Amino acid sequence: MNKRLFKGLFLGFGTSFVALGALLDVARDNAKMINEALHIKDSITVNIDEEEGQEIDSNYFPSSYKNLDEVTKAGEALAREAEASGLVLLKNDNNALPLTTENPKVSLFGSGSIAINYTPSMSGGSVDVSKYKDLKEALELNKIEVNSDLFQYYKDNSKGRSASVDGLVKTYTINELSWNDVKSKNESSFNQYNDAAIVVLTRDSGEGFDTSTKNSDGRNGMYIGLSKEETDLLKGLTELKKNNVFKRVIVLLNSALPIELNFLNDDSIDVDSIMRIGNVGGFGLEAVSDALVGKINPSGKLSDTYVKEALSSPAMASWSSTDSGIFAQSYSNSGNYDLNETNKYYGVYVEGIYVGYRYYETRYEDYVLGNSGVGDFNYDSIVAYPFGHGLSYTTFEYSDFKITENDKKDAYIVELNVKNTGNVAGQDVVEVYGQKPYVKGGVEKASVELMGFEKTPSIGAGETVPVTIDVPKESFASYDNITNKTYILDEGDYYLTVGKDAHDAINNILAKKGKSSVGKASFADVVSHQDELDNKTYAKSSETGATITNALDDYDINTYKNRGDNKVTYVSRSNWENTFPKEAVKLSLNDKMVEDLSSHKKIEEDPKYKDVTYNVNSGLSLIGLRNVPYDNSLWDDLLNQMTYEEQSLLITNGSFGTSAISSVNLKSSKASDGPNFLTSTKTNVAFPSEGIWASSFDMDLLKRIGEYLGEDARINEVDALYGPGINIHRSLFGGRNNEYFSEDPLLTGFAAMNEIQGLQSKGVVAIPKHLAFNEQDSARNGIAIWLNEQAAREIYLLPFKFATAKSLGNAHGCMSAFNRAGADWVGASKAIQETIVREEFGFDGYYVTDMASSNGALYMTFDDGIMAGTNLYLGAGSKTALKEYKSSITFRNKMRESTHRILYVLANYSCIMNGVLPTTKVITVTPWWDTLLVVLISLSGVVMFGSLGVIGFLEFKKKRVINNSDN
Amino acid sequence: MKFVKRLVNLPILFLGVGIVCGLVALIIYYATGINEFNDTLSPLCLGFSYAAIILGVVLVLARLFGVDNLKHIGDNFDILVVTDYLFGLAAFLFFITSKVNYIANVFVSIDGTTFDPAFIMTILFYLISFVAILVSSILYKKIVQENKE
Repeated sequence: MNKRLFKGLFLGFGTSFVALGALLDVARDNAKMINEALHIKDSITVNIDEEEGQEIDSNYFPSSYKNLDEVTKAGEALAREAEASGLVLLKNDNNALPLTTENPKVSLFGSGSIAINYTPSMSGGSVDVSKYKDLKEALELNKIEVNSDLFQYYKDNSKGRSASVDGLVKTYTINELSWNDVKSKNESSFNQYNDAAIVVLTRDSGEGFDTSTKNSDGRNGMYIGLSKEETDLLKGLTELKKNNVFKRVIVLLNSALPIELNFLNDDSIDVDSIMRIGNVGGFGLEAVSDALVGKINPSGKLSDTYVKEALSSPAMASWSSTDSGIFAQSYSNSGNYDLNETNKYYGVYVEGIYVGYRYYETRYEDYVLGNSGVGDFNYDSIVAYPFGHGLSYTTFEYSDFKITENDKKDAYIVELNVKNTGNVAGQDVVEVYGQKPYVKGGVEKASVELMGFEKTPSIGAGETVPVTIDVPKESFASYDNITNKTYILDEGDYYLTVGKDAHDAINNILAKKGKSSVGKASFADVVSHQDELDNKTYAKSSETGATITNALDDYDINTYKNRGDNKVTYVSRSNWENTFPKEAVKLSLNDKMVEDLSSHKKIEEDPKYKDVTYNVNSGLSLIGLRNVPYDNSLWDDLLNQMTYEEQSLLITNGSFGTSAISSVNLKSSKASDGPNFLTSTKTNVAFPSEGIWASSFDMDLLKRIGEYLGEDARINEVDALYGPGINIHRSLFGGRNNEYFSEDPLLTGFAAMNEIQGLQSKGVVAIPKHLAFNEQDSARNGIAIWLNEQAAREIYLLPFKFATAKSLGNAHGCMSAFNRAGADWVGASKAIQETIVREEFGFDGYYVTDMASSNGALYMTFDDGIMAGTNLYLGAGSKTALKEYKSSITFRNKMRESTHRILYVLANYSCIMNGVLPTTKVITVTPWWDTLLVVLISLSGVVMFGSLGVIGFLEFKKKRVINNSDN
Repeated sequence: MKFVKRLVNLPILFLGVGIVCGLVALIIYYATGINEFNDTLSPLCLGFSYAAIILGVVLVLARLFGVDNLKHIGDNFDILVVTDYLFGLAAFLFFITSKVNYIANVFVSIDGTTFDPAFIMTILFYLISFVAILVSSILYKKIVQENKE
């Protein structure tokens, strides 16, 4: 036999043995992703008693649609409706819109006109935007003729928006064409298409990075400012309008981020109409086209304040003074410690509750009242359009405003009539704002806060409709994190008003106080007067009865036990001038802080826990526990059927779904990222940015969007959605603002609540995100957010209450964020997850991390998270992932709680249980690729070792021959 | 001198290069392997790295002391070098598999993560290591064959 041959076999098959072994190792870690890509199921269900099964209707969550085509058509229509309902007409001088000429002829300007922002860049996938209509096609649907030469010119010459990354900083550039070039090459065509010059100003944004406050080509280096070329364009068109070349100039703001409208201060620029269209989604341009010709009457209201000075808010003042132009900073002495990218950055929410309009309208009121410390504040030079602003092609008048109390005396009922005083039908949004009394030096209070709203049905010209809005009295409570450490009612007068927007509202209240002639006193009223401080009425949760007191002291640098010399001066209306941040807050580390930032905290054994039982079969199936209360002992019997390894697999292997577990007859589940659309959906339906949804102020629409997303999920065999995004538009530059609703927590909360109800009605688990304080994306992995508890509760956590409370959204999932609160990764924060969201809000679902396997290995750790209430890890886990904690009884109990949470949600709220009967058996199957790899590895091993064996035998034989010949 | 002469032998030189590169890769891995994506080092990568280095050193010593010339061992010395190559290959592959999340994050390019120099150096040294040992095994095979003829 040829030894060379076997040596070659040893080499060749040895190589394949090793290579395939490594491949199997990594493939098993990422089995879920591979199975999904290859459309392989990791379990099969078998009905072992068909006769018994037939009596039970197992379609627990019926779908409204029969097939993909139906779902797709419904989605397209709804996405168009979302844009129609949410686009906001900011300005409309001289009735420039709608275009009433028959077959209007228009010229489209701006590189954005040929490169519309349909959707943001999001993790996990995208839709095929090439299938969507471009702006020209959308306009032509309404017989608007577009200047084709100009359109083509932009297509041929536009450089396109771009972005470059350097570490944590992503610098976006606008790259608009030079106006002189555009004009000189195209002006001969302007006269033929002169009914309107439509300018599209477009901005991008996306996950992973905030947009640029420096080094972009926008005004002063800011990406959301207009570039010189864009400004020249508007000036040039103004000039042409003056010379009667164009009849009107219309600007479309195609951006989820509020573009800075500084040009409104420029006398050389005169635009007639401005319409905010956001990221339009797949079918929003059709709605924009409809709005331009008056087929739809704009009815959206701003969900954010639009400003002329992008850096004017206190949040931005501290942000923009960092060297890098991003929010995150390194601790000043971080070089003295052995830190990494996940623990050396921080940011301070120095503005407290004064986010968005809460800042602008409050400082405005203080300025009007002549309060000390206001400083120089010119509202009109800073604010372009206030929160809640939005025009219509008609006009509305309010009358018969009155406020009463409900029978239970726990809410105010605001009533009024809305009359359409114009010539065309339209919808209005009635906005109710409240004011709590501010005691100087006491608990911070915004001068107005949105407390309720209602979108009217379509009101015909000349018609009147009554509107009724309930405002819970609890809305007037403020959180006192310093003295009373709970919710309070300060002494003083409490107001309610209706306004066209937040600025209108504060003017009404000022008028009521006799301090302003601008507002209407008749639309404001004092609803109650507190003679003295009340720190009892709202000191317990209205959802659960849990006592409410400070839980987040360690996330406020001023009360953090290991703060050392660090201190923050939060913005206070007691003295705007002195407390307005002039630079970013500098913090430094000390040894104890560094220790707090470390992971793998010691697991303290809790004597209340008894040892956990495993692998005891009671013959139960998960479906049998559907509708069984969470605390019923049957759940213990079911959990006892599982092994430690199965629980480990379920908890740690939660990347886009959960694993099949045969011992409890659980099928695997599948989750999709969102929130504006399902990533990788067969329908290719993308909705506009969430800010547009919120701008509709139409909660019925939000519910229908939720229902649709549930159907979209179902047709893609998805049963959970990572969405909605409910962080706050704290700044104008937040990279993921397109995935969040608003700067206002109530509007965000209502929108979330309705979307979640719709989604979950289809058996798709809603997983709102990101809990908590994920308002910035650069350095999101581990950035420590320091803030005071008043801001945390009143602004950032309030939407999560709406999302998760049983009486409200009742979401059955919730995703924790990448960042830290103080030194704690939020997924390891018992204070947030357990104390506040579970115990106070009443959340009964499961917590899932953000992408733990992405870059969270160092700090999104199993032990820290599970011990603090995290139930599911969005990562590639395994049966052995938690083996090092097996000896801890406390840890095993926490694992059991996590398993219980997950199984409870799946049993009761997930459409994966559709078709599962008490007689169904779930059998986990090994995917064919795993078997194939094992076979190939085995073969390689056999040949490899076999070859070695043969070589050995040949040597032995040779030796014997030699010995024999010697003898 | 005899010892030096025994070491100045192409296969052994390649083997030496492989060992040294493997050792360098291991050191860099120890120093930089823990990051935001990996909170522990891969035991399989470490194990195979040690195995490759130790076996490699044993083989060099065997050559040094003329063990590779002994009957039966000499004829099959190349197999031992192949075994060493397989250990080196395994170390390299298990290093890569332990970094799959990191690699994926770079390609998805959401967080701006890039391949850092330490990662690139580790890959390079592991790669050179097992390739050098493979070359050594092929050269040894040739020598064994030539000796037979």
